[in-house]
Amino acid sequence: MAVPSQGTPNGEQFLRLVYTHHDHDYVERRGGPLLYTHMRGAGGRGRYRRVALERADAMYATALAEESASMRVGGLGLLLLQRAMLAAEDLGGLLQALLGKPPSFERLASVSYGELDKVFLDVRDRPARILKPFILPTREVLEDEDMTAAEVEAALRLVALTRSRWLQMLQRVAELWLDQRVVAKATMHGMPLVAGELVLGPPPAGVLAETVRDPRTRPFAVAVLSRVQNERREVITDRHVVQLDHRSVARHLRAGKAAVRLAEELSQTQANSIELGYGYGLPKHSFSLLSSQERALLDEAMKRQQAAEE
Amino acid sequence: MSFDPQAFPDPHAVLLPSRAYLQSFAAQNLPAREAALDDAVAHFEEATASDDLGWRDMALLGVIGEAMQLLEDLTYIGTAYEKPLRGIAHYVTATVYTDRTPNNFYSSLKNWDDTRLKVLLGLYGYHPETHEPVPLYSAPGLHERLDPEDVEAVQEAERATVAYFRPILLHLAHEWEQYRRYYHAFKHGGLVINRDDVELVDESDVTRIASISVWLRKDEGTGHGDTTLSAEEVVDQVTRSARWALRVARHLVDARLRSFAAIEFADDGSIASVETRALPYVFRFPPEQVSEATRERLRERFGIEPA
Repeated sequence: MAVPSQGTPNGEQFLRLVYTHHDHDYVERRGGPLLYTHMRGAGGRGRYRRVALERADAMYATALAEESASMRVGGLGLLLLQRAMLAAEDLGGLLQALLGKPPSFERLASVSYGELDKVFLDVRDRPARILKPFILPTREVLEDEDMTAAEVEAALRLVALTRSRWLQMLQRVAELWLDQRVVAKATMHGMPLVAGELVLGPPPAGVLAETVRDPRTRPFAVAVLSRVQNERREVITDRHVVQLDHRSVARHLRAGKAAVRLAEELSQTQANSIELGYGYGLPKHSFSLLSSQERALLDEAMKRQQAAEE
Repeated sequence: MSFDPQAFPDPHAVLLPSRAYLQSFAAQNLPAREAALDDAVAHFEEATASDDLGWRDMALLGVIGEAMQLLEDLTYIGTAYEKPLRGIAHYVTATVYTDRTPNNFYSSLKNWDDTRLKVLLGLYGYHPETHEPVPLYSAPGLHERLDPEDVEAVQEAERATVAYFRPILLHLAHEWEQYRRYYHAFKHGGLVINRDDVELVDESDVTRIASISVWLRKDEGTGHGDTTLSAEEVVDQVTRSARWALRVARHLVDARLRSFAAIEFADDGSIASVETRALPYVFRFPPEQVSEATRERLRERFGIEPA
């Protein structure tokens, strides 16, 4: 129907939005056209982040097989961790955008480390808040639809299974973020990460080795992060051990992939919901979690709904 | 010749942590960054062969991201040794995060005189008491061993090294300014503009094709893109620049590690011995930039071969 367009100066050029939607005001209420188009583009972004993670994992595995726990292997472990954290930041930023009242692209494009921390702390402390943007329907919503009692029960089971799956994935990503946020910052800003074998020595690396406990896994690195206080008269240095052995790296990989998948599914759920003009969405990608009988019931309900719309 | 351990900085507070930081940079960090860059280019080629434009755009942003990451790393180690916090080991400055470090470094480079570049490149250091930049050859224990012809040769090699690096650094400053916005868009949310939904038009409403375009952070609704280069040209340009940044970073690390090569540490971290013949220099320049006599003197007296 309407073709919303928005000119944005870019030197002598303008960016024009060209997607179609039947209710531009509705798109605005759901976060605006920039957030909508960002979520519609989640496929390419997710594919890139996933392949980048897999490629980092392959490099790490090859190097580990060739060189055991060398510093080069540790560096590749850090690279994988950095890529996993970029995926986590994609997800955290998207959640931050959608948790706004109203949601907005600006909240995504200006998200701070502190705000990302809050999002991931809320996964642990206030999961119901974090699950809201996933717009899973309630019993009341479903009973208002043209659905039989059996179809409603199947839909509610799908909702429960999906909620549980999403929450598990969110917890995995939140754990990665909260454990490694400091290290991730180091990987992105100058890489002040010292290889564990050089920290421990012999000879040990002087003050850098103080308070560092050998994690008994190899390789590992120590992130060294300092802050200047009291008008540059005092420098406080913190050290964080990051394990880069095969098991730890595999955990980072799983969490990174979970972040990619969540960002894709959240984007898809939201974009479909905006496109159709419904305030909730049944997670079709989770149908495989249901029995064949339940799937058949929901397929039937959806066909009826589609026919009614046409 | 005996050595006086008191003439060296404290091994526990300065020498050993500095050495570990620099060795890690050389053996862990830079190889990882180089591998990431190569991998990003291969990823871009894979994505380009597909018909998934969204993937290709992100993969192009990924190449820019890995390339600019090297340019950013260089600024941290550069700032640490050129503008260190006073009273503590220089490497500590590289562990202090501020979002201004890369911009300050690159935007000020055009105003740097030769002395600042000599400090950056490891040819000068700061006097421990006056904090004035001084040539390495003026250090106690070193200058006594050099005759005037040695000093002249070192000075000529210093000038050639500065002349070699200055245009490279200015080029990197230009590249940082050109690509840093894409880099930030890549790192913080993957803010690539979705081609399916957004088109670029000029003032006459004629559609333009950008090789890459992103939403700017903290500036809603403003895009940033390039219509002058193809995606492949962008890849070529940023990877070349990243490899220059890698070379400069390696030089900065090697130049500082050279000072440690002469010191043998005992397992407890104390200084066991010092090789007094070595000169702590790494020069880099095309051979024709200095006289044959200078090259020969550096080689024969001190075993220094310019890289």
